[in-house]
Amino acid sequence: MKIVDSTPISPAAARITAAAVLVLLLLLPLFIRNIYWIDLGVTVLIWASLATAWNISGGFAGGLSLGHAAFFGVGAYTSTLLFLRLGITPWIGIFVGAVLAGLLGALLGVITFRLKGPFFVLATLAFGIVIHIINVNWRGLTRGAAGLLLPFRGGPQNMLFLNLWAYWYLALGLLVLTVGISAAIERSRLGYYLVALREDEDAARSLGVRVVRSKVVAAATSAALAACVGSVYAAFIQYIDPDSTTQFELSVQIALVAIVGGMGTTFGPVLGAAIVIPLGEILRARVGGGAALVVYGLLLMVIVLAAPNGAIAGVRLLVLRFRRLIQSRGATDA
Amino acid sequence: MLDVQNVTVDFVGLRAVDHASFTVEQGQIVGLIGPNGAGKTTLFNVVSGMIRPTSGSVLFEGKDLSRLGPADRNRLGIGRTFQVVKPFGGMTVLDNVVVGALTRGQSRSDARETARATLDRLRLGRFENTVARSLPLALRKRLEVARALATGPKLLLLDEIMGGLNPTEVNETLALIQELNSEGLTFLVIEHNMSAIMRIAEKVLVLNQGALLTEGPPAVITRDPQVISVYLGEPIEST
Repeated sequence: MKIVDSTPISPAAARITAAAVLVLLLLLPLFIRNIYWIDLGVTVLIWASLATAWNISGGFAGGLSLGHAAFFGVGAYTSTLLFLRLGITPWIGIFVGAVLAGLLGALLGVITFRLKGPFFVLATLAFGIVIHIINVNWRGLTRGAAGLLLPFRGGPQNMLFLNLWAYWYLALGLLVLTVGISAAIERSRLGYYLVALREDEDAARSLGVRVVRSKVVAAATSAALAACVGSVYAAFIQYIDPDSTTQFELSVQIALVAIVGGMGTTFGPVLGAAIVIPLGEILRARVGGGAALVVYGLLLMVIVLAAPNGAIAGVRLLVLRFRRLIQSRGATDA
Repeated sequence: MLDVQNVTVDFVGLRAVDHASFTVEQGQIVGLIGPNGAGKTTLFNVVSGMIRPTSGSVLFEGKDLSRLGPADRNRLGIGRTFQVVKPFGGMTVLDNVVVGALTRGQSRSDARETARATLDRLRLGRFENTVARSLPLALRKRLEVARALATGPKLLLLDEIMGGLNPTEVNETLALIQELNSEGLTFLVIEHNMSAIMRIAEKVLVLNQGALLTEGPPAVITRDPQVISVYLGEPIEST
């Protein structure tokens, strides 16, 4: 086999690109007036955060979870119920939800860390479904399928805003937080351990990597961040029910966004959200009905076939080719 | 230093290791030989904690390891390589070794320093940015050693790291083992390359069908008729 050198995009270039994108996102309100697009934008940011949270355990640690809607739901319901029943502001509720989901994630991690491949996937799937069933049936707490409506009380101090752009900045702040934590983990000791465990668990253990501790910390962090996204989502939509928070389809979509964008990379899930969510929305609005879903499915297949390691890997390849092209131009000019 | 006491490993319908007992003293290079399927790698897996023995125990520096997993045993100072190499394929060669250094509590920059020094020592320095899975097998075997060394072990278990190496490479590997040994590292070495192991080992253990057949200095082992009949088939040339 050919000896291949790793050819990373320089960290400086990546940082500049990320900063440029962030500035663009911060200034976007100056250019867009249409409520429909703002709404779509906030939805994309929320999904980007959610997929980034998923990626910490699903991508870095390689434990493909199909139960993450459970954590999202715990976040959404915790902050909403605390607000409705006890009048506690979602600004505090979001942390309570994160802690609860973190503990739940750690528990799931302790139970499932030994499971490999499809068995791990099935365990997370079952966990997600159990949480959904509890959510639907525990009417005394969650009001079941009737859902919970957030009354507009108090405004900003309760994470409720009249201006849609406020949610844009809220979701953007959350995205910066999740991506920041994700990037920090990737470069940390834990990040090395998780990737090592994903690549070869036996080898990692023989080098002193503690399996349970690493996987449980990743699972808890991932779950806690997913819960934060759930709280922000609830404040944005102001109505939550089991179908929109803990349903199985939602778990699949979370994994899908990260996989399409590029699991195991910091920016892949963000790119995935920027591709998948608008695609689904626009198709639903312009095509509609069953046809939209068929086209949506076909387009996703095309994307996955074209960039099997995720869209971010495709982008990376293009950048490297472009750079080589410039270099060879430079060489012939000289 | 290492005390293997009456270890038996039963797999379904097969006794892989049969009441094996031996010791490795601080500073020794001990060879572990035997025909294919004799249970050598299984024994390594017991010592490194990858599998639990059916009965018997392993002591390291007087401490019973029974309740410790591979990670904790490594942290006590037992390093190992795998016969079927297990690189972290998607990582660079450098990052593979960094993982080993990180578990010793080094900061990331210190770990990179340690990893670079270790790679240089194994003449893998120029491959530090190479994607590990693209390395040729001989170099991947060396990477196994580099990674284990970066954890700063007291005892290093080498599982057939000389398979497929040419004579020059074998000599270099032997020189490295001896150099590390002179710095205080103890070795337990599984090897099929008989002349190689006989040149460096102070003591050789012969395993046959899971049981320890005999043990002794290389000169005695190579002349032992029992060993010759089960394993060597013919007397080996002294080198």
